[in-house]
Amino acid sequence: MLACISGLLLIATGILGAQLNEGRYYLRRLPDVPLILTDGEQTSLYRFLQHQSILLTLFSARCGGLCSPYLLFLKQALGTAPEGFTVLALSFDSRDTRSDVRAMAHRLGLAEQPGWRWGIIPPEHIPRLLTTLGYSVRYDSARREYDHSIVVVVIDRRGNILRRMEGIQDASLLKDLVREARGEFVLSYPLPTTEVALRCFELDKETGSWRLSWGMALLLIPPATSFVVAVLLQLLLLPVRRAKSCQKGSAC
Amino acid sequence: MKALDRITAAWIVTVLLVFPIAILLGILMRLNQANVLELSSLTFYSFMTAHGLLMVGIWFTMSMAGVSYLLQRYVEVKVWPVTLGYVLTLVGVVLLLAAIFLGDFHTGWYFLYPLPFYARTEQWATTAFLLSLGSLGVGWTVWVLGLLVAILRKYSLSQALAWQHLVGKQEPETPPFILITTTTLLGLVPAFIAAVVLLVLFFIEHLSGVKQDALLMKNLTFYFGHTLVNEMLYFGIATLYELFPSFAGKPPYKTKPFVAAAWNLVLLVVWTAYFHHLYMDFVQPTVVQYIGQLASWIAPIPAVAVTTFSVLATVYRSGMKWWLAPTFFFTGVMFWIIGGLGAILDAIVANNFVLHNTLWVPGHFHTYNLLGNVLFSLGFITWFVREKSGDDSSRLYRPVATLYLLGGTGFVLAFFIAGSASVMRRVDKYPHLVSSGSFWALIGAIFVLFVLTAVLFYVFHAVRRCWRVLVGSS
Amino acid sequence: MSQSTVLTLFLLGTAIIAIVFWWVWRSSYQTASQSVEPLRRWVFIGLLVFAGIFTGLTLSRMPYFLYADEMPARVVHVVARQFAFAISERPIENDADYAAALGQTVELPVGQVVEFRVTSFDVNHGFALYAPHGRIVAQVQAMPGYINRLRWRFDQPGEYIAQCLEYCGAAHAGMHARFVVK
Ligand code: HEM
Ligand SMILES: [Cu+2]
Ligand SMILES: [Cu+2]
Repeated sequence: MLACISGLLLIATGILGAQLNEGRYYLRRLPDVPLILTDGEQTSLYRFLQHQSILLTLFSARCGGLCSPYLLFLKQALGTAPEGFTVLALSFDSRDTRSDVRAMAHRLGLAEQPGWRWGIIPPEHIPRLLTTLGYSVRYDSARREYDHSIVVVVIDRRGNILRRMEGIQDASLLKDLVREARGEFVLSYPLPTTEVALRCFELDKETGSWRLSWGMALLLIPPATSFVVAVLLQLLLLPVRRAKSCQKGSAC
Repeated sequence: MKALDRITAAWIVTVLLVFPIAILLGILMRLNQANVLELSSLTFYSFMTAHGLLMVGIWFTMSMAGVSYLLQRYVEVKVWPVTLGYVLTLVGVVLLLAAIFLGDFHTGWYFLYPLPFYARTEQWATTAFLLSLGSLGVGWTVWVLGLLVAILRKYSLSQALAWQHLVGKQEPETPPFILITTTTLLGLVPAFIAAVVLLVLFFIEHLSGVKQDALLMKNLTFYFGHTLVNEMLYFGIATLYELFPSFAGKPPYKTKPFVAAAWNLVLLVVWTAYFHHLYMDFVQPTVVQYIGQLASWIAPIPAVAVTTFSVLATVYRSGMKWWLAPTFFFTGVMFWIIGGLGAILDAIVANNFVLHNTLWVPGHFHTYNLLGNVLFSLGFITWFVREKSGDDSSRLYRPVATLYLLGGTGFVLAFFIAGSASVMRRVDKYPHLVSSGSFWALIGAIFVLFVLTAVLFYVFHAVRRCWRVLVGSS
Repeated sequence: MSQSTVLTLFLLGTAIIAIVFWWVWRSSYQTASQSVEPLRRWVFIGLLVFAGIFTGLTLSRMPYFLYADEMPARVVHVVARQFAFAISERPIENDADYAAALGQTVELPVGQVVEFRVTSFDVNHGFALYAPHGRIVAQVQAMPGYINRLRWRFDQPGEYIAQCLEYCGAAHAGMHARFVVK
């Protein structure tokens, strides 16, 4: 059920938010905000980063809109124990308590997972973080719903934003971010906004590596067709060759 | 037999008449770059497009025509594919010249996507250009298939590829000429199909406006363009294998196991060589770039070890009599590997990083075209003229060979030196940044005048004699 | 390898090839035929070893992952379009950004890694960096629909020119931009 709704929502927002707006935030340094993690650990962002690269995302435990489906999407795309980096999910909602967040993590089946950490930020520090991230939150009192951005960012160990993805994109782009989060240098990436008929290579959703796509299949047409042509000629002309060697009087 | 003589003579006459015109376009470009002339940018790039396409077109078809003629020594060659190739090539060239000179089509010879849609060109000219390529494509494909059929009517595919020699058997014998021609024809088929796919995608965008993936289009472009130019050299080599030993009074070359192995290897890897055109496209997956460099380095070794070595061994202490035809072949091989050296140095990705799209590139490809492949074809033509008229062009020997080789060497050296000084290719006027460019352009232009003189003498001589074959008076 | 090393190697190789051919050509005036066939194997092996070593050594110097494990000090966005480059430290995502960036001259730090994120709004272009001494030091293609990342460290201060190196139409020759390294 949840998966269904999330699917629909993903499609809807995916179309709306198809912009890779990351350039404005690249290499911005996040503020060193204090963190209170659900397991009780009290730390700060920079201290937390000393031990791991992170993929950071924000949510509200009270959000009835996109937050849960989006986190589920991330769970599905990244797995429960991603390799080489940690997913840090922080609440942007000053009303959320540690137990609210823990309950949410439990609901999503992500509470005891090694690769996922959950936490809250003391309310007075939240705005600083949101501004640097370019994260907008608006409470729509009519619908009693949050209207907020959907953002994941890759952060290096000094707190700099390496990559940022806004809106719900094709999962392949997310995998691209993941490679960056693992410390790989991604040499080149497609612009999501350009629509083309066929691409040669696409990022594989499963492994995050390049995989052949239909465009590449076009590149295989020439050798394949040539092979068929050669074999056809070989077979079609068999009788002619036979007849020739008969004429010469050899056994046939 | 007679008909094949005629169509061959028709090819020779046509090619030799277009050649000086295409050279003239080249000289005008060089003079413009040297600031001696003032062409408008549009004129310059129209000349560049016409020059590139005409040169590739005439020398590809001439090498095909030579092979078609010699093929009749082994198998029965039908004339109609050669004639159809001729007619459709003429149609294509007329459309092409119209698109370029009446419609301002100026995208360079490989019309890299999506430039044709962005260049300031008459709308109809793009259509005419695509149709022209279609005509050339159909004509050449039919011709290539016609020759393949001719071979496969006698040799099975495995015999034509000399697989029996690979495993050391002597019988039945496959002459090297058949082996090389077959691998080359088989290598060309996919290149033409790639061109068809490319053209279809172009037409789709032309008619519907749906964009294509620039990376895919670039891959297709060089799959076709690089392979075409590469294979035309192999036709030249096939001709050389067939004719050269007799010039030295030696028996024909035999297909030894390593010869068979070398050319089968060429068939396998020739299509990977185009990867080096995309080295600076970082989006091309990096493994492909590694394969590109390795293939560019390993693939030529058999060709060098087999062909060059055989030619040198044939000449060594042979007491042979030199005249224009063997001289063309011999020096052609020399410049072929010199051009190849220029190519593989540029095929190192780390070097390509600073040489890509500089004049180094025209430097190396003019070396193995003007001084390699063209010489192979001229060698064939000279031999053909002697066969048909008994005239061995001895009066031309010294002046033509000297002027052509000297002029050609200076002309390509000017490219290489400027290229290593970071002077870019394909610009009509050199910016201040690389002002040495215009000096080298002038040097190049002066040397070309020698080449042009030699060519004019030669054309006058050969065209008259081939014309007689064409109109049937002996 | 620098451009002049490549040229030297090329001229050297050319000289060797020419001498061999000239020597064989001279020998053809004698007739004491002598088989050189046994040499063929050694030529082949020699070439293979040479090519293997040479290409193996240079493979490790691929430009694709230059400074890949360093953090660039600056990120510069480059958009090519007939017939000018927009270079800016702010992202260039649409026509307005492009127009705004056109007039600017970017200043980049000397001795630190800089990352260029290069793309095109229309056809394929090239993006080649000419150092003050007039030689190309690095380049990458600007392909529509893709962002290519080129990292480079400028060791020499001065005025650099980014020149288009892929033919992009009639005014291609003049397509360049300046930036300053200090
Ligand atoms: C003496 C004879 C020749 C002269 C003077 C000449 C001159 C030139 C010049 C000046 C250019 C432009 C270089 C640049 O990028 O700035 C050029 C390009 C070219 N030439 Fe030649 N060339 C000659 C022979 C040939 C031959 C024999 C071939 C091929 C079989 C050939 C094929 C080409 C091609 C394919 C281009 C590239 C065109 C393009 O960039 O679109 N040329 N030539
Ligand atoms: Cu450009
Ligand atoms: Cu350009």
